[in-house]
Amino acid sequence: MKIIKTALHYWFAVVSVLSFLVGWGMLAHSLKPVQPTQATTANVSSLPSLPPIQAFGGGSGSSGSGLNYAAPSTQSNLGTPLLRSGGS
Amino acid sequence: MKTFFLRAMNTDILMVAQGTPARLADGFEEAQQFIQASESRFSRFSEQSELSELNRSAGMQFAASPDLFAVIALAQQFFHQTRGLFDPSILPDLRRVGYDRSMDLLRQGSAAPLFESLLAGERPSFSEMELDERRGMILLPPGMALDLGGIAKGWIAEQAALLLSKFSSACAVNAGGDMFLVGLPDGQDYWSVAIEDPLQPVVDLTTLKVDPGAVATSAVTKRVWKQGEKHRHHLIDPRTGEPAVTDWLSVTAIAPHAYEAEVFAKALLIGGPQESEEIARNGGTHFSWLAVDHDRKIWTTQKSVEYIYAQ
Repeated sequence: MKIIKTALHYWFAVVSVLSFLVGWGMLAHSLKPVQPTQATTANVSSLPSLPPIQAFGGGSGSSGSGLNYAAPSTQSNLGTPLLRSGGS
Repeated sequence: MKTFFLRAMNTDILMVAQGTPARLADGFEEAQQFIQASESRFSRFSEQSELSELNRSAGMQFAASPDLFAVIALAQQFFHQTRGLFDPSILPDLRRVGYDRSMDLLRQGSAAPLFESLLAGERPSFSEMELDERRGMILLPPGMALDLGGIAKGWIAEQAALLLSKFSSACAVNAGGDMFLVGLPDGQDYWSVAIEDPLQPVVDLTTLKVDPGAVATSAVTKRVWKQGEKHRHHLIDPRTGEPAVTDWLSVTAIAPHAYEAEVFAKALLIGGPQESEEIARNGGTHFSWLAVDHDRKIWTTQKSVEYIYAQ
């Protein structure tokens, strides 16, 4: 009886360690979640009638020189070559 | 539309044009030759370039080619228009922070030297440079050295597009995001220009609808390297001599000319929101811009929104 109990203890210990290692390995090699961006979350096909604009830096809206603009999402116009600009 | 790709000026260059294949082949060839000849004239990484010759001639009169004289005259004009935020005489500072070889070499892991012990020294102001337009002579004060990287790239893109336009009814030359657009593609009322996410360049944040003219983007996330433990980028703030600490990651400017779009994008990125009103006013009535901040938010002005999205 004691031999069976000891064997079971060893069995559970070995299986637990192996399961942990296999799980760790699977998670380490799985695909990482994609971070959502404005481009993927925005879904506005054309200029909004009233863009949500706020003054830069919390200053007064009328005098602020910069405005935060919720831009339309990327869309390619068929037939027009889409050029890309991002600095070099 | 036909496309033509080449690598020059340490950046990817894309030419697109509509027309007959035979004519376009000639056009692409001519534009390519111009770009390569201009690169060897304006590169600061070649000891044989005309720009390097000029830099070695500081303190003496230098007889410049018409192309070099034209770009330096533009640089002087924009130095004043941006109140010194655009300053090509920051080359000693660029070298000091490690950008002393081409970005292609830096990207290959060639270690930037650590010149931390060297403090930013006094250098002559760019306003002290003298131009003699009649004789085509340039006099750099002793100790001055110029980097014409961005403004030259914009100027070359524009000149190459104008050359290509002799063979095409509508064309564009895009030099690493600085582009000049001539005419309109058949059946289109505008050119579509996507703005890259500065943190994930494969993702586009938005698409602009722009008239023929120029678009340029300046970013602090592209030309980056490590100097010792410090992360560096290529955009030197002339006020400090150090890589600029910016509120935005990139600025895109839309203007009639590629060199001015490039210069104003850079000045806006360095100057930030505090300087944007003044810079935009100096950019003139046909100037628009937008900026992307660290949270990928897009900042712009109402005037720019109306122009670049509502065509």
